[in-house]
Amino acid sequence: MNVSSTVQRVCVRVLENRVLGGHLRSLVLEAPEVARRVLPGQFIQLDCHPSLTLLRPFSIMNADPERGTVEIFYQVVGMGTKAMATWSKDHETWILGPLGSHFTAPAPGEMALLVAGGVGLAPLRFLAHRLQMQQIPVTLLWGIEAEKIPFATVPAFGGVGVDVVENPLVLAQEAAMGIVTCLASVQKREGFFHGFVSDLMDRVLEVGTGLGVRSRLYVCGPTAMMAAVAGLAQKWALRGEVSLEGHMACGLGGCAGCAVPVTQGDGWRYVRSCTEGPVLPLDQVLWDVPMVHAGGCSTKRGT
Amino acid sequence: MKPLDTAILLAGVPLASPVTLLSGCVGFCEDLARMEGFDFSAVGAIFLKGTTLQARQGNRPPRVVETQGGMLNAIGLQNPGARHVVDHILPTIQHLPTRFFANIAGSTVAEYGEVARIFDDSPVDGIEINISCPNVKEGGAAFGSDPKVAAHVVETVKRVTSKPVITKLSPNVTDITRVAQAVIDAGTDAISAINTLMGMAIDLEKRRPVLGNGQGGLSGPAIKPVALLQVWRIHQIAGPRGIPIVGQGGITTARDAMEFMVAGATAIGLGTALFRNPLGAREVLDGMVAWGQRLGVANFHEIRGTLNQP
Repeated sequence: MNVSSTVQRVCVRVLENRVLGGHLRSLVLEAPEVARRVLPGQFIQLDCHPSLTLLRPFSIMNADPERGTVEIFYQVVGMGTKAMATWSKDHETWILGPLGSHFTAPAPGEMALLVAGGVGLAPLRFLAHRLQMQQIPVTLLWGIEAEKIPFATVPAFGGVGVDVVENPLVLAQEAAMGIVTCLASVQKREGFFHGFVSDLMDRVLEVGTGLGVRSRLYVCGPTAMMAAVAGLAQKWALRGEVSLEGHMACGLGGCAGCAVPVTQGDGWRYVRSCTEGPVLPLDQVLWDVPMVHAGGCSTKRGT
Repeated sequence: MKPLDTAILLAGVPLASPVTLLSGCVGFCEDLARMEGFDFSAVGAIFLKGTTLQARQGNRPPRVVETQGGMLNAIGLQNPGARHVVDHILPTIQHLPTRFFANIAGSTVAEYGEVARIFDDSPVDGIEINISCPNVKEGGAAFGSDPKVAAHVVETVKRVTSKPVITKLSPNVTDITRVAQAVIDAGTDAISAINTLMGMAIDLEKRRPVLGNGQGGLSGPAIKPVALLQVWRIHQIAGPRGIPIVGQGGITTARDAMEFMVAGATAIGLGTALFRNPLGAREVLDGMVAWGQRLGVANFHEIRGTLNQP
């Protein structure tokens, strides 16, 4: 899971910077070498503006080795992402990558259950597509609260959604690829499961859609959501991996600024979310030590 | 154009370049070698992560936060302990074509001595004493703010090692020159100046400090003017005694680096700037060479401390 391959610092060109609705955007960068090498769960550090002291970490949502592009999914929340929102086609900037650890594939015969919250969808969408290419059955649950849903949806004609939601909607792109999706929102929305995505996960496992113990879990989202999913993983005896959020400076393991607490024997220790992580075994992360704080620079979401 | 010799002598240690990488910014170098295009020949020396006698977990997160023109950090000296560094880390990096300085810290004066003794029997080229870490409850800055205690730490370390000793000073004192004078008298072979300035960032919604440690050390371009002044002031004392200074504090460009040399630095350190550009050492050195050649100097020692009075 831990990657020791080389990291590049490269100048990249913006090919597309699309408003997906509200504060959510998608940025496509021309970065051929990174696109060829990056694996689901890994991230890049992006230079958002020369006046900013730190680069901003972003998970890769999609990498196209043939086109030589990588795509990130971001929310305009702070100075870095505000600067990014002004970029137009052909804007040039620098990235470092690929960085960090990546998700590992399920064992033979296992299915993949992906649980995402907000922009935490990014690394799991990338994972879903890559697993699907390997003919591994994927179910992707996504909790999204944005006013406008940033990706096209279509009515579901099967999958877990039909068991837990009336007239469920699914992500159109994933549906076309044969990936099962189901959406959750704490707001009442037609076609959505009403509640947190962790509630949706619990419900899906309850109705016995065959996911049960034969699934491997993959999680990314806000810390509270990941902690809730980790609790449910224990309840349902599921193992899996989580992609963490946390403050970060260098992204290369040099500063130890992105420490996250993990179990070690009877005790615990800090590991760096940029190098040992951001993808870590779900049952190793200690959720009772605060890892994320409003403000500052947050792993893989930028600010 | 006249060739410029980039080599310098720092506390008796010949460095191929005056550009160094600062403690706490590149860990123990284990990940630097993964950086494609990283040019060790541009780096005169690397100051390794602050090391204590026993392993330390470091502070609770969040440990870093960006501020206007800089950042705050409160890592809290997370390190695996001196024995582990010497036995398991140094063997994996000592082949790299640059010089290494250990950076040592302790909770007691005696602990500094013990850590220094461990590094004395190791391949590092010298020992930097960290009496200025603002982020641990015991030790660190507590030793750096009292000239007598600072001198005691330096004497203790000097007694147990034959390696060159560099003392890293804190700007969080009323008069840095008093501490500089004391550590020079105690036998330090060089001075690093400055460490970070203590500061705080507040999460207004939660009415709580952003950093898990409450406070942290400010670094980055925001502190450069403070660092320049302190280097120049220390140079007034250290220069006549032949004690070199590793100038540091917000250096990002070659121009920044040259300003520190003019103020009195023999070598310069890159820290926070590496977080934006881990390959920055090469760019800074090339820029410094271009400046030096325009000035027509044969080496960087000719520039040191040449600041004209206002």
